Amino acid sequence: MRKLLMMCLGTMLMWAMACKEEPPYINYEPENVTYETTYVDVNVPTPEPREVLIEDISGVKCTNCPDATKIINNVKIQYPNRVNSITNYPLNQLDAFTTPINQPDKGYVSKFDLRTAAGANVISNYGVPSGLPSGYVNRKIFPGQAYRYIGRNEWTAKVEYEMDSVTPVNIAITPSFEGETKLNVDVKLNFTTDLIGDYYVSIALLQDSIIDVQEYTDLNTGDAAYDVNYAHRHVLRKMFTANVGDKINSSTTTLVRGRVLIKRYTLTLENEANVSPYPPFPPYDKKHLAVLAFVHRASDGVIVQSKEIEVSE
Amino acid sequence: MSLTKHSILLFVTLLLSWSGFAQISETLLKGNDKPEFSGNFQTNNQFYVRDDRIGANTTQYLKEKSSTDAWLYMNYKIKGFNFAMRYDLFNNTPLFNPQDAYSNQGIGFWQVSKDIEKLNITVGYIYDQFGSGMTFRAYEDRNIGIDFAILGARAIYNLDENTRFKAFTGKQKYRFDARDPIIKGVAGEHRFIFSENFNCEFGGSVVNRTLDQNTMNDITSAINSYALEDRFAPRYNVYAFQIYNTFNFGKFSWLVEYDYKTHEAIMDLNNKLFNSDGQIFHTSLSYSSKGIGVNAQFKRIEKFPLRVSPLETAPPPNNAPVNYLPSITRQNTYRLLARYNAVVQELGENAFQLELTLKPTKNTQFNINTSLVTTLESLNLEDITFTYDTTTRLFREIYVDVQHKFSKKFKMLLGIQSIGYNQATYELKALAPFVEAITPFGEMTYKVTPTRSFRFEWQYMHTKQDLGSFVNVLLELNLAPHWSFSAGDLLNFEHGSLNAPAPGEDFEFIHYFNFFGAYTYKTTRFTAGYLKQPQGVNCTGGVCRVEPAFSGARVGLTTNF
Repeated sequence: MRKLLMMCLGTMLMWAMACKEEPPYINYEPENVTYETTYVDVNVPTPEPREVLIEDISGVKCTNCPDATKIINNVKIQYPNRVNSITNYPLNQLDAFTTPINQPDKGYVSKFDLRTAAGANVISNYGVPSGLPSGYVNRKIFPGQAYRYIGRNEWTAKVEYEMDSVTPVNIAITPSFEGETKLNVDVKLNFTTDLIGDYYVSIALLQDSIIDVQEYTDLNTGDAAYDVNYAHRHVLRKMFTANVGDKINSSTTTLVRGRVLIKRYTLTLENEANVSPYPPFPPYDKKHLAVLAFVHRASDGVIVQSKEIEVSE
Repeated sequence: MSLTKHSILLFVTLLLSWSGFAQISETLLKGNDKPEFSGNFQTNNQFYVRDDRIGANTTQYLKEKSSTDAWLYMNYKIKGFNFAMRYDLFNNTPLFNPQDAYSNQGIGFWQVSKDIEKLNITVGYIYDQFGSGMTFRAYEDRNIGIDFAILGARAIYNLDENTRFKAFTGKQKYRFDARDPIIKGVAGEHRFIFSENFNCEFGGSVVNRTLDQNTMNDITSAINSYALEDRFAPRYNVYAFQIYNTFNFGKFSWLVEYDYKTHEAIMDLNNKLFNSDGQIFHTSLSYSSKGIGVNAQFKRIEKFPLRVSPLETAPPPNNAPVNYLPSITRQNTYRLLARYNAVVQELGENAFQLELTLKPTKNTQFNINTSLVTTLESLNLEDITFTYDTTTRLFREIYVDVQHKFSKKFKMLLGIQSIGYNQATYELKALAPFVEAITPFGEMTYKVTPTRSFRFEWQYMHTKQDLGSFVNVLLELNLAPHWSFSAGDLLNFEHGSLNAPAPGEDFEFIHYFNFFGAYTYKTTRFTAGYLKQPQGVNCTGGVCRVEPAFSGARVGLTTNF
């Protein structure tokens, strides 16, 4: 009896010790919206071509991640202006692949920390892969798949699968600098069909060609090697919206055919300090900034349309 | 592979195993090891006759015109093993959603259980509860579409006749599938025997529910759409703790129970999530002696919805509760007395009940019952003040009956019930006024011969609210052991606030006739009836749901083997 009671108490104690949990992402920041209007236009445009989004979950210590980038580049060449991509280096997730490289004895030390909390929030919500590279295509769970994340060798086929679907919303984005550091993005969502359920818009700031060290597989030896001049592509830097999107519809803004929703988001691009012992975040390089906007359906998380545009100085 | 396919594969395996066991049993087993096969079958068939006047015009009245529900349960015991399975069939049933016609069939329940000395292990679908069920109850009530079985595994260890431990983990059944969040729990009970007249039964449990990521995504999406000041971090895990003790001292019995639930996102009455913990305090004091029985109860619930997901806000049977919060008000059986029920308010209520049974002579018995349910705010625990007014009242009932057996052939019951019912809260009818109803009632039973008897019951309910006043009469003829017939009419003879006629028009009486017949042969019972019933809250076993009106025929069959 006493042993059993001790066992029960021990079980409850272990349970109590295990009850601390990492909370899900909640956006406590006010919306960066500086202007907003909505109306229903009787002149409904034709649906624009479907643009597919590949979210490449990556890490500077992931030896096959450069190959994933090549696959994305190839599919973009194959389908010009129909494929968008974002490279997500998640913070405090998949640490074995994502923490900055720090091997001073070998001469390989990351200059920058590419990781973001926003990226971590996204994969917490949509699935953390067991290894990298991995990614989502339109955040969809495809037939025969158990998870949203899929290996890089499946991306091209999944992009083709998604290419023919019709988008219910046309997206237009116009980024513009106001002064040196203030970046405005005007987004216009034009719904071409009636929608039910909740929809969210996400707007991300991407930075291309960040030169820093990357681990890769040397094809000659098969061993891991380091490229100190590697160009990290389409890196997620910041979100204009909440990290998992801002809700579009409301009780007064129903998503009927012809609904137009215009919003201006504003971000101030200032370099933020990083915590020790990690290197600083990369500085914002105005020559290589792009804005990516996409709309997703809340019921299944699937992205129904995306649009990417470079920011001109 | 879907759960249904899994279930069918498992069923085939079980059948093969059973046949194998059966062969073994022929040659090897003796005495108590003799295998035992048993089961039962139930089917309910409804045929719908549209009647717009009483609101009997849901989809089945317009399109499907009939529906069938059927359950075949089989159980096989051998050498400490117990194999159970149930085949469920639903054709165009309104059982799960009165506004919808649902069709599906398959294995709705399977279970394999084994006794190993003091240990019992079970896998498959499990029905169980911890203590009173206020932190965990997995149960079935098929007549109102409820099947909250847990699909998982359970272990029960009976240390001795006074001590028992339980643990389980699994997912809650949802029709032929399972909901994604995980539920698990442990419980222990022990009876302390101090003397012949004094003992106490002590128990406690912990239940944990863990949300899946998709459910959490939906919750965070909702919270992220709120105003900044209303946002909060929801938790994947909620823990519910229960501790209870019943003192039995001579003719007295005293139960004290406390339940606590950790913070989680819960839904308010406006379908908005907020972050709160919750608690329940329940106590019951009973005295029972020859000719007298008294029971007094108090229960206070504070923000204690415990669902598989806080987003499960559909009305029963689709609200996916992990626990069961019983009402402490009287469970009435007569038709008009049971018309208004105090559905437990998970977000908060205070409930009181006092019950007195007196039996001054062998042939006479008095039952007196009164209950009161108020909002959480009515009882201020800081300065111990109680407020009962139009803003705090939810339900009150005063019930008195007297039963007298005049002879071996004739007995009679007379009584009266007074009800106060907050229809706006209980039925979410925002503009409905507080219902005040008074209902005298009676029942007479006359045995013509030892096998033939008549039973007559009547109730007259007077109210100016809801659908107004009703009178209900029912005459029943029992021809034992095979036949039973009844005919009755529920007459709505005076309108209420919700069915007032147009200005200048008179209210037309509405008859809700019912005719019923049953034939019983050994363990088989056939039933057939034609009836109309008004919309209202239907409660079975303390679980209530709002049901639309019914008009049509019902045919049923139940059998055991």
